[in-house]
Amino acid sequence: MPTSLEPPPRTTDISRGEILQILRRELAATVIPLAPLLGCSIELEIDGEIDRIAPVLDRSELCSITTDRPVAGGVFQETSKVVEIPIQSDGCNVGLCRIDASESRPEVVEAIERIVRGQLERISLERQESLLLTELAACWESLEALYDVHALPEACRSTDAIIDWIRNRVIEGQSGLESEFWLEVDGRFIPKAIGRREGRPPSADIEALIERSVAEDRWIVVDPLRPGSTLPDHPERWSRDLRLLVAPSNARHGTRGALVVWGTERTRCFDSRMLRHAQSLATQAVMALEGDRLSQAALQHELVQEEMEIGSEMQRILLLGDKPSALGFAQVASLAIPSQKLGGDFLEFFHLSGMHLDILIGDVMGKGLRASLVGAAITRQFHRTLCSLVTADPNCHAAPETIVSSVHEGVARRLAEFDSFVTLDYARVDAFRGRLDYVDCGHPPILHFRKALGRCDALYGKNVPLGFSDLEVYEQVSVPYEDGDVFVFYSDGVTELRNAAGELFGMERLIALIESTAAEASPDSLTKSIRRALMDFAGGEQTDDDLTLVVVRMSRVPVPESSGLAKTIEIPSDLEQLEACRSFIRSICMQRGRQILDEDAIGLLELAVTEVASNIMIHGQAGFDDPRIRLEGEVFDDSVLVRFDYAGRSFDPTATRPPDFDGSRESGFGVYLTSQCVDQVNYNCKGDGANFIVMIKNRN
Amino acid sequence: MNVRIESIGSVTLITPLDNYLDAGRSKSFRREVVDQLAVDARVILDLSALKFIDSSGCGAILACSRRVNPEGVGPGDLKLCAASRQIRTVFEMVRLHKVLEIFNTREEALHALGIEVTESTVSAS
Repeated sequence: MPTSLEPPPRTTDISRGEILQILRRELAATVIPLAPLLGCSIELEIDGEIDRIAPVLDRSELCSITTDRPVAGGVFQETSKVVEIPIQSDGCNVGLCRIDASESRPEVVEAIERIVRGQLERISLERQESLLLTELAACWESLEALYDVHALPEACRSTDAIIDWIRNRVIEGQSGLESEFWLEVDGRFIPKAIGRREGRPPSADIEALIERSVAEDRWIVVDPLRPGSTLPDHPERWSRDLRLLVAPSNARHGTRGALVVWGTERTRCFDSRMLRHAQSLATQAVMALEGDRLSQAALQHELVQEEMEIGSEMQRILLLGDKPSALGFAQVASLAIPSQKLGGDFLEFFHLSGMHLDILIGDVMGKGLRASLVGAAITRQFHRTLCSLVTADPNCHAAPETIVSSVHEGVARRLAEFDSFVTLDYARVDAFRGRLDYVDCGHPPILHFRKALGRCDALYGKNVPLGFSDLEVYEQVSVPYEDGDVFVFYSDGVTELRNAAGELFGMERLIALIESTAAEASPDSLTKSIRRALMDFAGGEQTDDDLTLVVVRMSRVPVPESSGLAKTIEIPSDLEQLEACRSFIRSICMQRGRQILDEDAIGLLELAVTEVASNIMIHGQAGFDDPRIRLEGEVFDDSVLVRFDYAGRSFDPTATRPPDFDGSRESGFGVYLTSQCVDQVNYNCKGDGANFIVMIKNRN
Repeated sequence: MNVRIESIGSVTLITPLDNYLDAGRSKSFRREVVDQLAVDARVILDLSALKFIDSSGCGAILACSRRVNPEGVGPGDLKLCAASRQIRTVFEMVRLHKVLEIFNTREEALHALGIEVTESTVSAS
């Protein structure tokens, strides 16, 4: 309880009987003694009951008083000479003060009327003052309750403890009253804080009263002592003495409840102070519950937000692979804008050999953590499949259709279980052949910008998404490319991006942008242009779907710039010259009397050169007239480069059969050994008379 | 291809004398050595002089093994010995060490074929 504040005095309601009593007392001191002398009688009529307070004396003792005009504020009866003055309480007529002045002079009647009116006015003012004090007291009670709720010790500030405290507070100091707090849960009102249930009316009746009270947002009183009070639906089930008060409260965002107070003592009634007090406490209870709900919601929102942030980071790490750099045959740029919701886009690059780059781009149906995890599972399945294929064939030239089929075999059943499907492109840039091999599983078409024509073609595939059908047979499509051509891979988030008017960005806009930019722009700047166009179109950085995009620009097979210090030899295409090739390698690895590679590394480089040279001599040039091979060797800061130039037949190392390691075959190890001995080997042997092979051995 | 061929008891000991066995040498090695071996022969290939071998050299050694024991079930046998570290590296890359036994010394290889080495057991052929 606050101790520094003194509450105002409490006042009580004044009944009509009390009004009669006050009027009689006040008039007794003024008008009543005069009335007989002035020849008039005064009576009060309240609730139909007439009380003559100033009887007329013997008429012979009175002067004759007549009047012929109405008196202001009253009803002057010409015939009976009666003036009636209404008596009001709380703005309502509660009775009449009737002055029978048939024997009096008008001046006298007027004087008496003024006196009566003055007295009534004073009583009315006192009554108003009394009501104001009552209001003030009720407000004080409410403030006190509010103060008490907030002054509760921290330990008692659980929502349940506050509600129970409020329930007790409303009946504090009121013997014979009990209380409950009811709360709406799932559309029904149930008791939340319960006291003693002695004498309580049936729950169904209370619930019906609460529903009405909350719906109409006004308190309801069931009180036989209070005229006009509400009747319950089934009064026969109620004790005759039972009185009940329902004080409702609605929070703005939906929490609804009511304080219910009841008792059976006839001596007390639910006055306005009690009503306001209960209403104030009911509001406090609902506010406490609403605060609790909001803080739970805020916490939940925070947790969800945190999970989404972790998910986004996971998605970035697991699902969006880093683009390869320093590829000799292609420049790659990628763009990944995650949506506000966790998305299902995934992107991965596999640089399995010197002349090949595999690109996996896909989109899982739906959004959220589930889609994201399915995306991670698919990416993992591709890694696993490639790993097992590489183990079986170290040169790993399994075709994209073989890879996708193998992945589909591993995931189709699970995708069906998850009721999910995945669109994807698995594409291989084959720099050796100068073509793109791809399997399209219902993904948006790959865009192929053909530099020579200045035109973009949309490359469609043949397959449905993974997870659609167990029986799907995956087929790859191959398209040749030329130097400077550009391939653009993207997810549907790009073309299905909408602007404020609801229009789609669409493939046509994307194609127009590529056709106007791709010929001159690097993949990085083309990617930036596309990003800017998308953001301008959408009017901001926030998107509903993931935006994933890869731009690959093809270039000629690399030939490192010569430092001018290269050494060259030219040898006849004769196996007897292999020792000369090895001597040449040993000579370029010796600079100023020091070996620039250790003995083991030189041995491996010698082996690779021997394998390549003998392969050219045996397969590439047999039958050619005076065939020769030119070898060029150069030492760089970080590597040693050896290049073979020769005229001869074409050679595709990927077409060679993988070696057998079980001793059953005596040949077929050459290409494999070469790949094991050096860090990079690029074959460009298209049989056009200017074949070259470049190998690089890194200096550790 | 310079090769020394010796008999030690029932075992044929072959020692290439050139220091490399590459595609330029393996053809003559096959012709002059491998093709001359009898089926069921027990052979030791002493690689102590060899400094370089390539895939065709490895293929020639495998051919040697298949020559003496074509089906893999006969009494013919080929054992290798005295390979340098670089030669062993190549053998391991093509998994030759999984297919043929490689011993550190000629004596160990002979011992594995049941021949105990004494002065009198060695005679040039």
